[in-house]
Order: sequence, then C-alpha cells, then structure tokens
Amino acid sequence: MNQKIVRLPFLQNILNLAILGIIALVCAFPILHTLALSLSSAGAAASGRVTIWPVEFTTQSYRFVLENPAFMKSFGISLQRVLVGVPVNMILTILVAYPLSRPIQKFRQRDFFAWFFLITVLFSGGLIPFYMVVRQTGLIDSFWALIIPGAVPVFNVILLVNTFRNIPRELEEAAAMDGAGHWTILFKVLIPMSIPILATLTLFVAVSHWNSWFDGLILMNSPEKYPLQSYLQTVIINPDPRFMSERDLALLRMISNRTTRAAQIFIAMIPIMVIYPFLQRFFVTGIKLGSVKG
Amino acid sequence: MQARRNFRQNIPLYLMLAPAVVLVLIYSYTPMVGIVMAFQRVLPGKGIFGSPWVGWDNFIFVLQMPTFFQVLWNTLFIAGLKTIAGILVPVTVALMLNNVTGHAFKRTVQTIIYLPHFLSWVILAGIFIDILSPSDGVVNQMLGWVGIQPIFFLGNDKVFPWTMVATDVWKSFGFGTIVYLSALTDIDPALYEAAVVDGASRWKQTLYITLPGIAGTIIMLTTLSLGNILNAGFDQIFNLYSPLVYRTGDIIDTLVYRTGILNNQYGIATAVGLFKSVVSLILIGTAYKLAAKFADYRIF
Amino acid sequence: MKAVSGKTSLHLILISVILASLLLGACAKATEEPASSETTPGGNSFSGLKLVAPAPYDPPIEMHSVINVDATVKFLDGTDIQNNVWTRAYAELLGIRLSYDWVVDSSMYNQKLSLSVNSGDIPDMFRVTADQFLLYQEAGLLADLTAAYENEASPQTRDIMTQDPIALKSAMVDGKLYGLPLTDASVAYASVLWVRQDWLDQLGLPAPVSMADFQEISRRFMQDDPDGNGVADTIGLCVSKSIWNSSYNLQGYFNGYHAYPTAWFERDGTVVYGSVQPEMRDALLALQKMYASGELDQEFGVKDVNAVNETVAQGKCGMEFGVWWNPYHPLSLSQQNNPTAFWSAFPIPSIDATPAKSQYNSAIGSYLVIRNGYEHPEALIRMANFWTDNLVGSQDEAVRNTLLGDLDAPDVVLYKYTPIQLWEPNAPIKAGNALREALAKHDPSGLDLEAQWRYRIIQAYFEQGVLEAWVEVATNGPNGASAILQQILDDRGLMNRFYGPPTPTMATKFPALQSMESEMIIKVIMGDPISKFDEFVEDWYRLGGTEITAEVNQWAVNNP
Repeated sequence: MNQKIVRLPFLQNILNLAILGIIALVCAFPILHTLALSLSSAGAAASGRVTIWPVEFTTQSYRFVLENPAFMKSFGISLQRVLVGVPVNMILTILVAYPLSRPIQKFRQRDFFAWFFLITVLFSGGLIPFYMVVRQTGLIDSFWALIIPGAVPVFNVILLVNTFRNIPRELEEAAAMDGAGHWTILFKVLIPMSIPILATLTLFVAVSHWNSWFDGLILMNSPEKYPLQSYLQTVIINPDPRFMSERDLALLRMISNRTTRAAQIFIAMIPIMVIYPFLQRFFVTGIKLGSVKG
Repeated sequence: MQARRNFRQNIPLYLMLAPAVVLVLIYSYTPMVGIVMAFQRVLPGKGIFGSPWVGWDNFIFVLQMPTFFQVLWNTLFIAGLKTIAGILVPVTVALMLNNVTGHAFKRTVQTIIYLPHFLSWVILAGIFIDILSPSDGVVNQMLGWVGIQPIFFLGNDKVFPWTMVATDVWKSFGFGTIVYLSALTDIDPALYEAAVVDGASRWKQTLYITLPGIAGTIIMLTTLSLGNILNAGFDQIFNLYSPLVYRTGDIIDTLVYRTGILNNQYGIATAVGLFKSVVSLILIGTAYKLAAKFADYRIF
Repeated sequence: MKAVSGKTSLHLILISVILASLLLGACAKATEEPASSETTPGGNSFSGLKLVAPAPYDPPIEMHSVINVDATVKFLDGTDIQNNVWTRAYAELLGIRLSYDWVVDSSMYNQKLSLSVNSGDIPDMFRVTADQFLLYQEAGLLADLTAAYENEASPQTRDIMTQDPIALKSAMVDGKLYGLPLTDASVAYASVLWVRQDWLDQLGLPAPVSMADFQEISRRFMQDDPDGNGVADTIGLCVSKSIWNSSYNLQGYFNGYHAYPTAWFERDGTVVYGSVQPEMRDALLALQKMYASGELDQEFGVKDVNAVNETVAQGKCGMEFGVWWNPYHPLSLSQQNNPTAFWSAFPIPSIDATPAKSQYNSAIGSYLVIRNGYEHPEALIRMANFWTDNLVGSQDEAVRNTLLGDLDAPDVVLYKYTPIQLWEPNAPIKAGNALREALAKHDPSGLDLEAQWRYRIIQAYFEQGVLEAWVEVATNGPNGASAILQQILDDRGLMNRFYGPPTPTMATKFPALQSMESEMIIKVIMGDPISKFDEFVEDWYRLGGTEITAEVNQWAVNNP
C-alpha cells in the first residue's frame, strides 16, 4: 500500500478533493438527467421539463424495452458473448504480449510481429471484404462471428506489452536461472505482477463486448440472434406515429424515443455497474511490487 | 548454430503467437485485399478484381470537392486538439486521484467519470443544445455570474471546434484516466520511500517520480492516438453541427456522409479510408522514430 | 430527409388501412369481382375467401428473398417470418414458395443488402433504393421485366404504376423495364403553411392570404402573448437547422416570394437552379427582419428537429411551413401541454397578386427487382397483381382481415411480412376529396372502408368534442390540408424539373455547394449582410454551378 507516501498539505488536499468532486458532478449531471428522462412521461420529456428528477414518473419506457420476449433472449446472447469473448480476448492478449515484450536480442523477429499487429489497426479493406471473409469462413449467422473476427484486441496488446516491459528484468532472470521456461516466466512472474492492468483490460473488453451492436446487426441473419445492444438499437420507435399499429399509437402517448433511449442506456450500464466495483479492488496502487518483493 | 539455438529456445514464443497470427491473417489481412477497390469503380457482384479499374479517379473525386482542403484542415485541427487534451486531462485527473487517500471517494469518482462513456451522442446532443444555449443554458448562466458575455458554443464557428474538443474530452477522459491510474501501479513504491527519506515534497515526488514513471504510457497512448488523427469524431459532430459552423466544423467523415456515397460507392469510401490510413501510418511511424531517438523509448 | 419522409407518408396510408379494417363492423360489403379462378378447395386456408389469383405454378417454384422487420412487427402464435399468412398465400394460391435468406432490422436493410449483393449472395426478388437500382442494373444483376409486365400486369397494377407519370419511366433503362417502382404521391412533399388556429382566433386575426398577412400574424404572435401566460415567450415562425426538411422548413416561405431554393425549374427556355435566382434576395431580407425583431427562435441555426419539437410541445410555436401530414407528427405534440391546440393549413401566401406555387420533388423511393437469371421473372408481377387485385380499393372485409390484419390481434400487422406492398400513390388526395364531399352531404355511405373510418373520427371531433381528433380534421376535414394538395396538383405547384441520378459534376461538387447554400441562408437570416447572397451566387457558378447547370439542361433535353 502507498500509505508511506507523504500526504498533500491540508489546504492542497481540500482543493484537490474539491476539484475532483466538481469534475465528478459535471460528469454525473447528464447521467442523472438521462436517468430522470428514462423515468419520465413522453410529454414531459418532449417539452423539455425534465432536469434531474423524473417528471410524471412512469416505468413505461423500461417496460416497453423489457417486455418483448426478444429481450431476455438477447440478454442471454450478450451474457454468453461476454463470458466467452472476454476469456478469448484476454488469453490471446496475454499470449501475444509476452513474445512482443521480449528484448530484441532474444527475439529478433519481435519488431516484425509488432508491426504485423499494428498495421491491422491502421489499415482495413472496409466492410465488404470483411463480410466476405466472415461469410467464407462460415461464420455468418453464427454466434462465433461475434467472438472470432475480433479476438485479438491489438490496442490492449500494446498496453500489456508496455506493462510487461516495465517489470524489472532481474525478476525474470532470477526465474530463468532457476530453470524456468517462457511459459513459467509468463504465468509465475509476469501475470501475478500485472494484475491491475489485466483487471483494466478485462473491464475494457467486457465493456466493448457488451456494448457492440453493429456486428450483430450486420452478421446475423435473423433478429432472434441479435445480442442485447443490437436488439436495443432496433427498439427505437420510428418517430412517425402513423407507422405503428393502434396499440403502439396508444403507447406512444406514454413513451417516446427520448425516454426509450434513456432507458436503453441504463439497461446497458447495469452490468458495468456490477463488474466495475469488483474489478476496482485490483486497481490499488503498489499492490504488485510490494507483494512480490516480500 | 547460434541462430538455430535461438530459434529452438524461442519455439514457445512462436507457439504463443501462432493462434493470434492465424486469426489476424484471416480476419484482418485477407480483407485488406479489398483496398484495391480504392482504384476501382466497384460494381456489385463482380468480385474484388472484376470491377473496372479507374486509377486515381476515386481520390481525384474527393480532392475535387470544393471545400476539401478546408475540411481536411478542420479535421486535423479538431482531432489534433482532441489528442492533446486527451492526454493532459486524463493524466492530470489520474495524478489528482492518486493523491487522494480516501478509497471510497477515489473509487466513486473513478466510477462516475467513466460513465459518460456510455452515453450516445444522439442523447448527448439533446442535452448539450440545452445546457450550451446562449439565452438560457446553464453554462452561459454561470459564465454570466463572473461577468462573461454569453457564448454561442454551437453556433459560433470560431468557438465550435473548441466546444467539440471540450465535450469529447468530457465524454472520454474517464477511460484514459483508468489507463493512467493502472500505469501508476507500475511505479516501484521503493522510489517513493527513498524520496520520503530525502524529504522530497509531494509536488517534487510527482514531478520526479510519478510523471517519469508514466511517461512511457503517455508516449505510447499519444502515438496510438495519431492513428485517429483523421477521425475527428463523426457521431459527435454529425449530431451537433449545423450550417452555421460548416466553415470550421465540417470534417472529412461528415462531408463524405453528406455526399450520400457511402452506401453504394465503395470505391470512393475505400479511397477515403486508404487516404486516412496512409496519413496515420506516416504520423505513427514518425512518432515511433522520434520517441526511440529522443526519449529512447520503444513503443512496441 | 426525403427518403424518411417518403416512408412516413406512405405509412400514413398503411396505418389507416389497418385501422379501417379493424374498426369497421359488419357494414362492409363485398364488392370485389369474383375470382378469375376460385381457389382450390380442401386444406386451403383461404378457401372461404373471394380472391383473385391466376392458376398456381405447378410444380411450385422456389423464390428466395430478403426482408426487413422492426420492433413493431409481431407474429401470431405459431407463425414467424418464414411461415405466415403471406408465405402461405403465395405458396397455396400462386404456387410460389417464398423464403427469406435473411431478416434484418429496418435501419440496416440497405447496408445488409449491399453487403450481401456485393459478396455475391443475390436474392431472387428484393427491394432496392433508387441508387442501388441504377448501380445493380449497370452491373447486370437485374432481370428485364418488360415482357413479364406487358403480359401479366393486371389493370389495377398498371393503374398504380402509372398514377405518377414518371414512375415507370424511372425504372426503365434503354427502353426496358428493370423494376417495379414503389411510389408515393410526389405532391405530398409540397409545403403548406401551418398556423395555430386557436391563436388566430384568440387575437382575432384573419386567415393569411398575402405575405403581408403572414408577416402581420408572425409579429402579433410574437408580441401579443397569444397563449395568454403573461410571458413574452412565443415564436412567430418555427424553423430548424435543417431548413429543407418536411417540417419547420423554409422552402415554403421562399415559395411565397416565387423563389424555389434547391429546385430546378424552367425559366426562359432553360432549366435554372432556384437558390441562385434573384427572387431569393427579397425573401432573405424579409426573414432577416423577422429574425431581428424576435419572431424567429434566436438559436434556430443550431436547433435540430427534436429541439424544435420541444418548442412545439411547450406551446410556444405559432406557425411553421411543412407537409400536409404534419399534424400527425410533429404538430400533435402541441397537445401535450395545450389540449385545445389546433393547427390549420393554408396555401402558401404570396408576395403579390400571382398565387404562390409550392415546390416538391419526385417521390419514387424504391423498386422491387428480380435477379438476372431467375427463371420466373413474371412471378413478381403475379405477386404484385395478387396485392393490387385483392387489396387496393377493396371493400371485402374478410379478405382485408386475413391479409392485412385481424380484429382479434390488433397489434399484429400482417402485411409487414411481405416486401411486395403496392399502395396507391394518389390515395391521400382521393380519400380527402371523397371525405370532404361526404362530410358536406353528411353521408358516409359511398366511402371506402378507410375513408369511413376517417369520417367517424372527424365526426367525433365535431359531435363528441374528442380533441385529439383535430389531427384528422386538420388534414382531411372541411378545410383540411389535403384539399390544398389538390390545388397544388392542379395549378399551384412546381415540381422539381430534375429527377435523374446525379450528373458527373453534381456528384463531386454539389454537396459542398449545398453546404455553402444553407450556411449563407442561415447566416444572412441571423444578420450577415445581404451581400453574402450575391457572393454566394458568384461562388456557386464559379465552383461548379455552371457545369452542373449545363449537365442538367442536357439531361432535360433527353428527358422531356
């Protein structure tokens, strides 16, 4: 723990806390506004009467989004996607980051592979060729289309390489002296020392799997296979009430796109609200080196 | 002999790389063949090589748009500012958070500042039009308290790019802050302990230990963000701009969008993408070299 | 914007048709002529119905298609998109086994289709946009339907295809037909002036006839507190930053000055572009004055349609230029906080003695096409006939309940299961005319089902005081907006002369010119000197306008 570090002088400390508090408030306001919107009536939302308290409180927007049987199904698909996708992403990230973090003297092809991965961030052939490849590999309309094509998150790999490289070489060398191979060094030395960054990356890939909607809409051949965010994209009400059946018209008096979108955002946030505090336990400064050195 | 032993020792490294290399070859490199469409008039159903070749026509098409260079400049300006602000703000906030000793407060702030990341620009546009209004917006009311004349944040073309930068930073700095906070954990506490023994003030610790400790991460994230230098944020600008601010707010993506060619003229869309990629590659390559030369830091 | 509003206006008809079929009781009579071949007996789910259908394919043929759905598409128990009343009707009555290779959310349909076609998966029958139509035709992907149409199209189908004179023409390349145009009444895009009637009455103002009346109303709406809340918070004319939209637009205003921004029209023997004509000048100056005096929202330049909707919902908005169906959306919002709000439509007022003409564009949004190489191109025509012969203008309640929607499941809209829906383009005008006639005679008996339903709603407003029914009164009632459509169609409209694909120079240069144009207009209104307009005209010609004008004139010669 970093308690040994000198604390800020009292006044500076207060100032620091005050500024952070204000920043947090500035970030919280639109969130609260959105939450209030999601719980307000369509009329109140449409005439701009909602600030941070619900006006004409109603849960109609949530019911509209949740009542469809497709919701639970999509929720399940998204859950499955996170449960499968996150481990796949993390394993590949770790497996790629390790070789790329070796000194160039020991692994001469390192730079070649580094650029090999980096290029994919910069260049792409666009949507059609991508779609054709996914189709050729038989993944169109399959759950795996949501996992496999994006299985290597290059940005995260680079972050992890950076962390691995900052770990003092002596530790690895000591392990190597004891006869440890690459696998042992990776799993016994590097990973235990990189828990904060691994927790961070886990959060990022979980969020990105949970929030992706475009690939679901494009790569699936029927709405029953949409993950949650793709499904949520489709429950946007057409702004033209004449598009709808009689029951929808009645519904439209109660809810609107504004309130529905707001409700969607909150439904989408829930899992992150659940995961984040849990992962934060691993973010504590200094935990890593202190534990290894002892 | 040396090389062969080296190779044998490194077999596990190749094994580790193999699955990712295969996947990336299939799903990232194979589609890159499609870049040739930038030089074709793409006719559907003809396959990637079956469409007629048109040389540089697709690029010329884009360059000939009357406002193209203005728009290119707008893009670079907005994206450049976003890159700079996207470093300064998260680093500052991360350092401030690092100075907080109360865990509950720290975690709460950390969580809250990440939440804007989840709001879509569609919904944010509605909020920003309200709170940035010169007549009754909250922001201008507060500026009024300190005697500043109302500013037309979304309608004044001198202010608009800065508004885009500020709102974008607001939405995304929580993400960067998390990365820097996690980078701060890489710093060896022994360094701080030594500093304490030497009687260094907190400010000096920050300057001489903390900042150098995360310099690598800063350089790396900056370099990577150059890859987005021609993506000034389509969703954001599309939802917030108006004819009043086209002069400074129109970016490549919004211009191309308004031409209505994206859905069907893949040749032109690919040409725009290729142009962006090449510019990004040049910038990233340069930054890579500079970082290696002057900071002795290799990004990857 | 055009595509969106095209869909919406079409849907007005769709929803009306459905509601009509739901709400009307036993009074409907079967007036349809008997089927040309009665359907096969036994095991056939349609045996009780009088349906027109040719002899089915024997053996049945396969047809692969694709379709879009959205959150409002629902299914009866035991049915889904691959197996429902329409797939059964096609299979049992026409011998066509229709299946969908993919089903996608409506927002993604064009993109998914484009990906699918580009990667070689071309459905046998599908719906395309106008852009896609031209591109796919050029690539040789579309089947020639000329012979099939000539041989098989029924009179009803032909009637619908030709109600808009340029519809079929737009689907032809070198004299051959490559698709069935799905059209909407072009005139439905013309603007009318919408005014808060309750405010007019409150202040005792006369109906606007001249532009001077319009200015007076705008000034009084702003100054005289028409909503009576004691606060100066009302706006004369509501405009959004999308000034050429289907609501809160400005082209209606310019039309009052005989200016036609964004439209091409003939003047002295050549086709000219409206936004650079001298008539724009006076109109801009007058708007500038309105803005300066506070009759326009001071921040309209950054307000999107949603933001202006808020103003309307708050009851602060006095007038707007928009299309005839605006009461359904967004003007109905004004009832959120003012239950007695009522908007009336007026023809565009004129600056002088010459009546103003409302400008509008051609409204052909999409086409139904057949893959080149598919063995039965005529199957599409048969399916189209099946729709038009049995549903268009039909009074047969049983048929409508079966194929469009059923009383027992009011939220299940059956026709959304097929991409082949051919609605009558002129239906809103026809219906409006018939309705007004019936209302004058107090006799709904001659009306079709849909119109009878509207008749009841209008009666509900006048007789039972159902305030929500104002939307129907304002559109199809005695002085409703659809009456103005008829006038516009007769002699008070100006249809954009140019309706072809973008010319070569247009493709590169027009988007930038259009941005310059709306930038100039909004800035001049907000106080920039009028010399900005003269500069714009000069720039416009210099930056490609000259070439574009020449190309458009060339096109006009080829498309008389």
